[in-house]
Amino acid sequence: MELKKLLQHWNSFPEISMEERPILSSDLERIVVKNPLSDAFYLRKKLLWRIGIITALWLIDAWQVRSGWRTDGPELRMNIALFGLLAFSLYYHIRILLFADYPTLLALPLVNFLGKLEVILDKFIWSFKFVSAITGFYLLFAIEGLLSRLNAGAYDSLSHNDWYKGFIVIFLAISIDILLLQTLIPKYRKLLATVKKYREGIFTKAQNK
Amino acid sequence: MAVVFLLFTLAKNTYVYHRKSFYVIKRSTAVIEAREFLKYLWPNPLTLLKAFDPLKSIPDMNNSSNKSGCEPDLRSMLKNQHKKVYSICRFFAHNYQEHQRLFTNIIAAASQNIRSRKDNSNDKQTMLLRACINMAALHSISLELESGHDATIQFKSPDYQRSMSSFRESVRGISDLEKFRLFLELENVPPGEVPTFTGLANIPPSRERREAPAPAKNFIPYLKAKLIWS
Repeated sequence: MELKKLLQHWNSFPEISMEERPILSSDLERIVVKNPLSDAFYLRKKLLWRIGIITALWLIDAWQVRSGWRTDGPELRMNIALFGLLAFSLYYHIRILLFADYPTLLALPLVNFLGKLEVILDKFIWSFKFVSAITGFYLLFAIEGLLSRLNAGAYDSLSHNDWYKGFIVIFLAISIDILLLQTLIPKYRKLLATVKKYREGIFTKAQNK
Repeated sequence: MAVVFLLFTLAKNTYVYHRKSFYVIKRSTAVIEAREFLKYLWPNPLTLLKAFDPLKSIPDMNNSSNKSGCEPDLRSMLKNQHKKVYSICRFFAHNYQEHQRLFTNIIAAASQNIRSRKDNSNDKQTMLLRACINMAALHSISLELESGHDATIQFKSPDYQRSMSSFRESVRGISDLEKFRLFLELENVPPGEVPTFTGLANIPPSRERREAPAPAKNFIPYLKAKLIWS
């Protein structure tokens, strides 16, 4: 009975005023279709930027590993570690991008769409760990470069001790990770929590039926 | 390295296979279809090449550079079906700015969905309705994220304002899932086809409903009987 009443009301619903109407049907021809997903939901550009930067760094590092291997330089082990980290980060980012498959994402049924969105956001939040680790390595190289100019003795003792360098990298990576956790990541975490809550709400409602 | 990564991924999460769907438990409780799950674990190398192919067949999500808009077929289809988009906006938009934003986003999503699948017209309808539902859900999530969102109905046209107020009053208190079901019902979608839009076909009933409540354990029946009868 209620549904019948609602259906009658639905069929007699007035048209939205011309002033407020978003796009008239005849004007659809002039539509320039834009990206329907907003910044927080659409990570393709960010992922592509990261993939580009990591690829460039990976190639530079590959060349440094090669030259270090030939001359048996002091940075060889750190460069090999960085090479592995960059290769893994590259694989991880490409994998997220391929999994997201943005052109077909909105064509999924609602629950699958929300689930996929959750996984993408979760993996993207995890990718900040790689960013922290990579930044840690480059900050170490910057510190070494600075020391070589300011204090040659300190530079010598640091550059020939891989343990010191390893500890410094870990310290820097954790510090940057904490910084990111306080600045950039909360926005994505909040979004992830909201999507999760929404999807769980739908599940609960469906199960209570 | 790929093998190591695969093992790492498998070890990190727990996967449950149930009715052709994988339930990823622990880190994220997302439901991934079997086909999607395999793609997630190990992407197809052809897809990898397609992403960097300048002559790729899958259109880009953002085609704003395409000044002509969408193809004639798609355009005429959207022109004929745009009232469905107005209908879903009635459920979720509170004022004309939201209405405009949601309408444009749904049209963009629908054209994106249809362009990505060059199938029959029946499939186009499905893609349009899925775009309506998914974008309405994202709209709802976005409003939830906004702290000071005004949920009062505000339209300039008095007739529309009155109808919207009375309609929203009649559907007040129902969840978004019920709104989606009602929308599909009002758009004459057969009830059997509703799961293709909501994706809720494979959900097992909750444990509380499936299993009858277990009787309380009587650890010492003899002693209990003694105490009661004595």
